[in-house]
Amino acid sequence: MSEKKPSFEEDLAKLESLAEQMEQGEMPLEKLMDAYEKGAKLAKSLEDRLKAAAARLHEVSQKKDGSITTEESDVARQESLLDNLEE
Amino acid sequence: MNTRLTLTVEELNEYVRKSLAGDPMLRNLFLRGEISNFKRHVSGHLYFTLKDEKSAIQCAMFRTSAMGLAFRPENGMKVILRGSVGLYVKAGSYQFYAEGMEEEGLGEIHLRMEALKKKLQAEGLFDASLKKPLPLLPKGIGVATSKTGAVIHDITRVGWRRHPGIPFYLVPVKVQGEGAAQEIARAVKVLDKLDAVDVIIVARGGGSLEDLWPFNEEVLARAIFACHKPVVSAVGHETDFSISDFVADLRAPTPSAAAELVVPQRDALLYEIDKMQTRMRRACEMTLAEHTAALADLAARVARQTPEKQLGVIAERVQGLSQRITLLYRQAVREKARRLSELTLRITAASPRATLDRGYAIVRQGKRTVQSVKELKPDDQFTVLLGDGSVEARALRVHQEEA
Repeated sequence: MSEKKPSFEEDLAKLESLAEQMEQGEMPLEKLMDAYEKGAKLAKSLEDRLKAAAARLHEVSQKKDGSITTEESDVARQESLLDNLEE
Repeated sequence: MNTRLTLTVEELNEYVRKSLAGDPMLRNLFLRGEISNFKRHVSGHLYFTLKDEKSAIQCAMFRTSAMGLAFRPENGMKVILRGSVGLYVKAGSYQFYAEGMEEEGLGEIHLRMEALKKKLQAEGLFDASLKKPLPLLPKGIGVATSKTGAVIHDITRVGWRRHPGIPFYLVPVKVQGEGAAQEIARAVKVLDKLDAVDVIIVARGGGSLEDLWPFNEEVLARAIFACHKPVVSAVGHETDFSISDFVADLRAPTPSAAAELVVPQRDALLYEIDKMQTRMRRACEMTLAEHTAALADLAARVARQTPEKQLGVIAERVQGLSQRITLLYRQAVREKARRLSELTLRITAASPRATLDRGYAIVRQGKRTVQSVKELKPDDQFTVLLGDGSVEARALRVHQEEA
């Protein structure tokens, strides 16, 4: 296991506090630019994470030996949701 | 002979009615039996006979009480009535006036559910302090529900509407009947182990109390409590409460509502991030402007103190010192200026697109940015940069605004 990646909300909070610190207006220019760069990187990674996931429904099953497998399921698809609606 | 007390029928019935009404044993009691001769009067009152193997009694339930019933009583149904014994004076028959009625089996279910609830509560399974917070942006959402039926569709539909990219992981389970609770409990454990999932929904559509029963079973309650990931319980309709709801980290009134609670609005988050970037940019621009002004000020002050102005009386050493200071200062200024322009470049590199997207344009002639109308004359060719592209243009006329 590699070290734990910070959660989305942790990174979002970091970005927010960076913006706040920068707005105090007391940072030396160099620090400010570093903060800006760091913030821009954070924002990019947050946006990437929001856009990365793929809308899929997977079906999960557990084998007799305890191993867990997942496979894409056609029980519900984003495109054809309206057709699939029962009730 | 005439001293004998002679009553009218009405007087007798009235007397018996009063004595029945005065007996506390006969008030507010529970009566168990089977319904027969069931009649629903047009007035809404219910009339029926309650019987067991050996005996029977006439019963009446008035409309106001009958309206509150959660089920339709019918012949052959075993029920428990709550009410009082009274006399129907007109007919001289005594009867049971029912104010409440429960199906016998369901009454037991309620009792069992209450008992389990008390036990788990005492063990701390419902403690608010142990509830886990939901992740703001789940990487994957585990769902334990039926593969058939509307629930999985409701959840994915609402979820993908809020965030079109969020993945779901379904463990198909039986949601009612024998063994359902065990299956759902196992599903929760499987999803707890699945790395792609960081929040779990256990869900079922509406149904009778018996249909919803698996969600009142201890085995599922314990599985939810033991789960390391936050669990949202969405069972039945808004008005249905189950033990799972109490143990879960969050109760959703319906499966669709569970999806609303678990899946964030992607656009709202993107907007939030964008807002913070704007704040950072503005902070940089402000500080840069301050620094530029401070430099100009400093330069003016130094200019006033150049050695030439200090007419002749300054010792050579002082002059030398001054020159050194000036030299050092010039270097510092050059360094600062270099940094400033470099930083300005970096800042503006990040911002012109955003500015253009807001409807501004940049006019360029060759590689030069046109900043004044004085730089253009009629027939000059130039390029207009907009947010999504550029326009090659030719000047027709040039107007200069008076200052």
